[in-house]
Amino acid sequence: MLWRRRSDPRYRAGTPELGPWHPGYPCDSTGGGPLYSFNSLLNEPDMRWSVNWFLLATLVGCDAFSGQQDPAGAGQPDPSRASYPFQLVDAAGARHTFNTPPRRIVSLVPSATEALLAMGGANHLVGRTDYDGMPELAGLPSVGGGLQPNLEILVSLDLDLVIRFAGESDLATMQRLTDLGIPHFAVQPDGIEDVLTIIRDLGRITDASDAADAMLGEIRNTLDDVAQRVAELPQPRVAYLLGGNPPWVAGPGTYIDELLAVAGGKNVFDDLGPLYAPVSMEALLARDLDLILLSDGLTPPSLLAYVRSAVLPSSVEIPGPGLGRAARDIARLIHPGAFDAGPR
Amino acid sequence: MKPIAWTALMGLAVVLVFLLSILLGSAPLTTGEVFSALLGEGDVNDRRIVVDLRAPRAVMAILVGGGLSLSGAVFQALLRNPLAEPYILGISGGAATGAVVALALGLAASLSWALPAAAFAGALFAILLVLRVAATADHRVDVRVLLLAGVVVGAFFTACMSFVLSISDARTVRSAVLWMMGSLAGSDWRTVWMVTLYSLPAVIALVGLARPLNLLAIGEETAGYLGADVERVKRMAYVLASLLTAAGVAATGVIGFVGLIVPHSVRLLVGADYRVLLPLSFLAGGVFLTMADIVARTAVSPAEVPIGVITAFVGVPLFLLLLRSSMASRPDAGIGS
Repeated sequence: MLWRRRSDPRYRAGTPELGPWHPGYPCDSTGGGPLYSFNSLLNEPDMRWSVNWFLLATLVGCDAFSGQQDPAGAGQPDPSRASYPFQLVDAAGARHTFNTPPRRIVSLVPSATEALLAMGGANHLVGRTDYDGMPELAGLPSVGGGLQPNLEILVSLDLDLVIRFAGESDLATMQRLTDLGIPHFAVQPDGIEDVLTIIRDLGRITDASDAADAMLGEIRNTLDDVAQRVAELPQPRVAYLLGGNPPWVAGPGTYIDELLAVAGGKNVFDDLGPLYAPVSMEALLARDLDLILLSDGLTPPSLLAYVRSAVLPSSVEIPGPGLGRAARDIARLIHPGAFDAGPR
Repeated sequence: MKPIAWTALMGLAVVLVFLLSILLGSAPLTTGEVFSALLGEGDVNDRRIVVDLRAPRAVMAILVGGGLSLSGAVFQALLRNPLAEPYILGISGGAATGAVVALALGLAASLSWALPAAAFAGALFAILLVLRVAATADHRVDVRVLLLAGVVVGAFFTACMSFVLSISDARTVRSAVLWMMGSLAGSDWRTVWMVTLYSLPAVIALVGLARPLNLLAIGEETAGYLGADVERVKRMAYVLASLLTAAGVAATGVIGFVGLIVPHSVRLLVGADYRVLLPLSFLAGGVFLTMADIVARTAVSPAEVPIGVITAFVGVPLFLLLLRSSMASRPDAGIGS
């Protein structure tokens, strides 16, 4: 089981030669960045194996990343779990104390909204953004966009908690929320591990840890299954185009780049500097592509018509509870043969 | 109607639009809830909405609208041209570029006066550049060249601003749309005090220059014969009007055409006596921008329309109308030169 650490003695903490990406490697408990370099892993000779190690480390190893202590061993429930009050460090490094589960929540981050809904938190969501089209939220007032939301409506909703983007694109809103006395918890859905951290934290915050753990287990199992199916296969060179003209692509540190690795493909833009950036048609032509994956609704660029291409469902691009399914959808397109035999 | 009556009426209008502005918004508050919030009673969230969100925003609209309108009126007096206005002359663009540079260099975070000071420096640089380009051999200003230079210099500063925004840290500079089309959404009491501190002395000093500006409107030579220290008055007025523009731009970004629309409307009402025109332009500018902001934040609620879009929708048709009529009446368009 590549995704399960506790049942496998090879993955036990404290084996020093395994290096910084090993699950037992000490993680920054104050919420700093990951301690490994994805690029250096990809450059290793046995890349596939390294990528699996990387994902292992990110998925199960860094429990301390957001301030929660690693449980003592397999099967034992964490005693601090779901017992209020507890403290949690968010993705912006701020420490929060939760005395009771918040009852009136607005999530400005669509993937966090999905996660809350999937763990049964619909009755705690009292507002939505213009980007949340889920039927459960249809009757709720909108606060506008997830960035620069309408502060008046946020105040009028009498909130216990706002889930906001941790990034630096909207620090003014964070400052105003603080000034207005609205508690806000920052999340940063960049990589797979970030997304799983969000699901676990939201589970703790809303007293739905069991649902969150079930969700995490399912995602890990699916990722594990996908990774196993494609483990022995050659890795085609894949470009995942996200739309825009010139098209945007995802680089290292994004869940898309990591999903491509799980699904047995090689992201040809694994040297991209920022998380997401537009790339020229020339750069695309120069990358020697085997496969082009396209966001829902896109058509392949005519200059690249000679490369095999496929369109992904839009659900792939919500980094939330559907992460496992997204990996499977991508892997089916990269390695159609690997899924013919049914579940292994 | 007497000037004093006009001023009283306009003062009343300022109070009314202030009240209207705190009554209207995305959150559905009743009139009673708004007034009890104003008195410090009622629900704590209602008080936050009225006292911490709507009120500073309304005061900011009055201050910035008044400042832009007053500086527009002053530029029209100085250049003896009805089309002069801080946005069209490129001064707002210069101020915004200065502000963005100060933010990108991190100066504004450590020094509270750095943001308005840099905006002021940018505004002065812009006006000097535009005047220099438009100056003819005999030290007069060719108005056609002046407006053209202003528009081109404005475009240049927009490019500078886009460049600085694209290479700098997103956390420091806020969004490009804010700087280029303006927004009052960031108004809190701290920024209101900053704008008050920088613009109120300039407003008072400019209103005090009304008499020499009246003489200047007749013609520089005549003004000199009538005892005005023409060069000193002009220098002071340029600097103060630039400062006023810079204070507003540093807080709310570039909002165009206010200095064009408002002084013209006021001139139609009370005539061209700057002793009446300047204070009335300030008050009416506040009324106009507050109304524009009400539209900006209610038209597509919960989202907002950039306020510069609304002022341009009103201002551009008026500008074209004025341009045509001034071309028709004076084919050489060298008004007053």
